[in-house]
Amino acid sequence: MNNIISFQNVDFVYHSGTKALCNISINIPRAKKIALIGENGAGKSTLMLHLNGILKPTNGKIFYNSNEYQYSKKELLNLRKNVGFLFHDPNNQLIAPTVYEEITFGLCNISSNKEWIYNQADAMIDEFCLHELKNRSPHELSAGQKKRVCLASIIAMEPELIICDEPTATLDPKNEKITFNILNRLNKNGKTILISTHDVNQAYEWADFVILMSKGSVIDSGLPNEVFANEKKMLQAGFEIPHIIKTCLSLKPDINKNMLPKSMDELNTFLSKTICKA
Amino acid sequence: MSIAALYNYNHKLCNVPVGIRLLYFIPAFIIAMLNNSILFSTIITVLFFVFTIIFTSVSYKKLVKLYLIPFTFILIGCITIAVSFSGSNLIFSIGKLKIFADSENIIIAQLSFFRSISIISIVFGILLTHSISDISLLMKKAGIPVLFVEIFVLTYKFVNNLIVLSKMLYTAQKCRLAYANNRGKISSFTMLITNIFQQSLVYARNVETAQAARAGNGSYIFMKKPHTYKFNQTLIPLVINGVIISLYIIIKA
Repeated sequence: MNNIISFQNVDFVYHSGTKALCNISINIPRAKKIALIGENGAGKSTLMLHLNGILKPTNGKIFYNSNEYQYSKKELLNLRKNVGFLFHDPNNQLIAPTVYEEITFGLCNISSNKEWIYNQADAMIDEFCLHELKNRSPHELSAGQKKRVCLASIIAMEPELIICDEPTATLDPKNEKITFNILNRLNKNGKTILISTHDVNQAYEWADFVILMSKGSVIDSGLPNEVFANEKKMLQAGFEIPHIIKTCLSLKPDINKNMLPKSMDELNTFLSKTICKA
Repeated sequence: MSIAALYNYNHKLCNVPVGIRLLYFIPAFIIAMLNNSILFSTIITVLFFVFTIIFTSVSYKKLVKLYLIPFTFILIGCITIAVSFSGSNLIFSIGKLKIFADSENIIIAQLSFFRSISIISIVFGILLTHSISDISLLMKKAGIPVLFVEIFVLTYKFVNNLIVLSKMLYTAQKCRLAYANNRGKISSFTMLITNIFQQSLVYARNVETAQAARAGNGSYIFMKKPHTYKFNQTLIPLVINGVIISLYIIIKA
């Protein structure tokens, strides 16, 4: 079972009549780092809210581990335990009086075992270095700290899939790096990470799998070098191709897509080889 | 100056169980309520003012600023008790309006003033050594229904958000010269209030969605690691209360 979640011809129409998703059929591969790319209003957030069962498709089906989504209270509880959601604005997520209690919120919703809840919360405090902040009110923290607390409160629930809606929006480069380090560490431990982003350069370097959205439809999906090198579809989605690919294509237009460098280091090697040859 | 802005999360009592922490304040609070002596009220006020500074490490200037808000209200309230439009002791008159202040009323006003200030100093001591979660825990232990405890916690969260939101909107308006002239002031203020309400509704909806995503079912349950009770932690509050009770008995006698 390589796909954790599958969408089959999913449509979604808001009460206002806005059609947000049109005939979406995609597979979310397990234990991968997935980037969901699309401009504002492309339907990224709507699609992600479907993954967590917050929204129910107007038409079509969604499958989690090959089992169709059921929207009963019990099934939703089980689904939300396994599919964690980091919201774009941490202020919407932070509700408890202290950081420690914030981490216990999701845990209290899925278990009544106090010992387990304390152990999980303590482990998250250690993992996310929140010792100094654990007795503080989440409202008083900086944007980076708030994001860390939100992520800790989700990871504590041990989800299989972690969805992050623009995880680095409003963060400075240092906190951006910290957040991505955490996400990478979680992925190495077998978690599937799905992020939505507008930053194609970052997504190209980071992701194992890319989903490109435009006007409520998935217009392309696959490996980053395949999706991002398709200039036509990238332009259709409102994006330019990543700098690394652009540089390579300008030097070697006939380059094999599988040979495209993935990082700045690989680009340096590519450039020195190409320039030396010339 | 707000209590939230002054609250020190690492105050000296933060690792003391909430029940023992309350021992510092509750007996003094009850005695301060029953007390009829200005001297005792003054002692309590000074004592808890000093305690609060020692336990919370809050600067005395900031604490004085915090006291100023209730002080003003209590002072106005006590002046209204002291003065009247009829009586035997005329203080001053403005045209036909005569203001009297009888000695009985002045004594009651004085007593009320000092008693209120002493109670305020104890309440501030409690609020600056107990976080919202401590207070909600106390409410639960006191048998208050969970629904009310949740409302208390959520009110705090939403009020906090409302303050942040209104500050943000007000600054954004001021940047565009919204309050530059009298005509603009009224319409800008109306827009500010409307937007605060609208955005609060959107915020409430987003909060609900975010809680549902963490398997929330509409109830707001959090857990805090319980502190371990140690007998020696009760010694200091017992000594302090012993001193307060002795003082009360001596002054009353």
